[in-house]
Amino acid sequence: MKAHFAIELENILQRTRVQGTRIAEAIERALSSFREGDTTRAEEVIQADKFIDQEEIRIEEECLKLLALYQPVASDLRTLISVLKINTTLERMADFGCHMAERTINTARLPQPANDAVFDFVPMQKTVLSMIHDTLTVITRSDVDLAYSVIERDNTVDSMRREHRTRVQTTLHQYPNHAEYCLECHGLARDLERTADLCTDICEHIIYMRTARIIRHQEPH
Amino acid sequence: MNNCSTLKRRSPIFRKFSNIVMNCFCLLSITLALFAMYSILVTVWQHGSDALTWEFLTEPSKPYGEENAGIANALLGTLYMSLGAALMAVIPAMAAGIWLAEFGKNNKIATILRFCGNVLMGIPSIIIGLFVYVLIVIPAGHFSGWAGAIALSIIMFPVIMRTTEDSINMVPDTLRESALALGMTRMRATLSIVSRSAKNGLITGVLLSLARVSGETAPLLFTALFADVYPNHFFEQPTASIPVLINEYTNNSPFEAMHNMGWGAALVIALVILAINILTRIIFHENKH
Amino acid sequence: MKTNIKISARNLNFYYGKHQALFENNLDIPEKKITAIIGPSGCGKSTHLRIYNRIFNLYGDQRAEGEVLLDGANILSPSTDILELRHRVGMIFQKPTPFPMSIYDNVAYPLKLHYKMSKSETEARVEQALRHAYLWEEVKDKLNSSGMALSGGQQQRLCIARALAAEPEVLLMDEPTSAIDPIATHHIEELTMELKQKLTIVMVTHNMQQASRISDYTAFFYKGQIVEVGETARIFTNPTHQQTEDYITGRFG
Repeated sequence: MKAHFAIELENILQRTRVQGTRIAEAIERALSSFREGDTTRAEEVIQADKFIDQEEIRIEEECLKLLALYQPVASDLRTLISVLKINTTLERMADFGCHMAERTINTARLPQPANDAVFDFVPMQKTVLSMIHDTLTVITRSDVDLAYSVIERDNTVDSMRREHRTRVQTTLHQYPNHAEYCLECHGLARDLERTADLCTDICEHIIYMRTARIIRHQEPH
Repeated sequence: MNNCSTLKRRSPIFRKFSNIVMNCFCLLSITLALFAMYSILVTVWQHGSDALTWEFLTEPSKPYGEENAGIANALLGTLYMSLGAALMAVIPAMAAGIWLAEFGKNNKIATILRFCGNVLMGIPSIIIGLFVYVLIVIPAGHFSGWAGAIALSIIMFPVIMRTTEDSINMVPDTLRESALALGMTRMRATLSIVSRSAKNGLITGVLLSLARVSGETAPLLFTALFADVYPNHFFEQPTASIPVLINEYTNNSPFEAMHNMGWGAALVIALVILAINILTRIIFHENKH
Repeated sequence: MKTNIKISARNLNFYYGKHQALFENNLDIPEKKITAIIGPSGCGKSTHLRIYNRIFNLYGDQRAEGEVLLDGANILSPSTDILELRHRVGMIFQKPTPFPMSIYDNVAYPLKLHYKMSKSETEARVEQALRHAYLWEEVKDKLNSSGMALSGGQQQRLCIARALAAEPEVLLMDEPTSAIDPIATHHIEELTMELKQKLTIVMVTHNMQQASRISDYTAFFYKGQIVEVGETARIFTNPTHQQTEDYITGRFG
């Protein structure tokens, strides 16, 4: 009886990990498509999102089934609830991946701005991607220390986004005819920042799962 | 599942066969017991039914040759002695049984008492008759129904004590605990809850012991003896009883008419005991629901 | 909100003859709350409960050491009036134990035992107790039929009504639903939740869902020791001891 539950729970965890890897890949591809202006790749990313959405629903159904059938308590309950929340969060991350891909398609139509108007997303992308990969590791290993380090990195991303915002403002003043492009870049920075937020959400769920402490909406110690 | 299918199966024929054999054996045993009872009743009926008339039940016994002799005095004597014995034995025997079951679980005195009860149950009833003869009849100088009743009560005592103890022991501990948990004293819980729950067992025990002593002959030969009169002087004079009457008429009389009367009395007592047994079953079967 | 402590077990040890069954139990039972005692079979949870009304005294070879304070007074001291104690601390057993008498007499029995009251008052109290136990509607037309003729769940509610009639301050329940069906169990759980407004309830159960559904506090026993005590919501989401975790998630043994 109990072994069954453990096996089913492990299955769900495994599917969640695969889903996470799939989403990380999608975001990476969306970002590279933006960098290279590759609209076909962007289209692929948007197409693939349908599958991710379906998988989210399947994982959720599995979780609900286990809740109803086994009525887990203590760590089992925390794991299942965390997986349920992580699953939703991952799907929203995938949505941001889609937004990024859409921005690739949108900017492709626009005239190319002057070199000094081109935004450099590389540092921010690097940080966010490192956060995404570490979050996947956190999910796999339930590593609380790594989770805290991901949460800390969110501050870096936030300040990077603020810098971007100032740059967008100045560029807008400088090249008002590239306003649309500026807005898309502004949007991309926001997408990245939101993705990083979702990473910290997932890490917080894992911390709850391991320690039963809810650290959301609290000032960092 | 798969492991089992590779094992060699044992044929069920032997199991089925032994089941049938055992069933047959049990049936046979039951038939034997029933047949014994049936033939006893038939024999008694064949020999005794002729004697069974209204006068036989209402007239007292008379010396050979007199008209309209009956067994009324012996019936009454048996009734008196059985009830007298019950009056003396039931309450102390039940008290002893309750004490053994409730308070004598791990108790030396209780173990001794229980052992004595068992010994007493095993003592041949004729010895009890002799005992009462020496203890009461000789000092008093005469046989009496009273002495017979005492002998019977001694026989009853261990039987009732044992059945009481057994039926009190059958009452689950939880009932006892729930009575005590309401704040009853131990004695009150025992008397008003536990005994009430064991009521059927207690009454059955008394009735069966009554049935048993009403058929006792040997102890009465030394105590109550026999008399051709109604037991109006129960405490001073010999008193008639059915078992002794049967013994006297069939064994110690040379006359055919007396033999017939003896068989008639045997039929009467057999029917009465049968009736008591059947009634107990019926009453307590109903009460179970 | 500060809750009063109704019963407080202090350094409680218990022996069946030479065998020690409880080891240094310390437990506070808050007033007007439901405290559930859980643990694997043979862990001593029933044993512990049976000390609170000293029902173990029925058996000569059982003995408790330590203190159990009921409103501050040690009930294990020899000067305790056991009848008074059991009047204040009622008990419900695993198997329903109706007395072999009518439904009415079952409930009236403790009333007659503890109080002097008129016939009409007794009748009113019996009805009240039966209503309390949510049994009145089902038995009001057959008060004179035997209590043994009721169904298992009804019998158990009759026992609860009987215990309530004596107006106890504490109700001990020793696996009260383990011998009855789910619907009757549901009735009794609802009833228990109602009762805690008036009295303190200590319930031994090996049904963990039951403990989590109805209790405010949970104590986990293992091998005669109290491993963990706390608010039920915490015990069932975040137990601090690995043994508790293993037991409530079913990974035991």
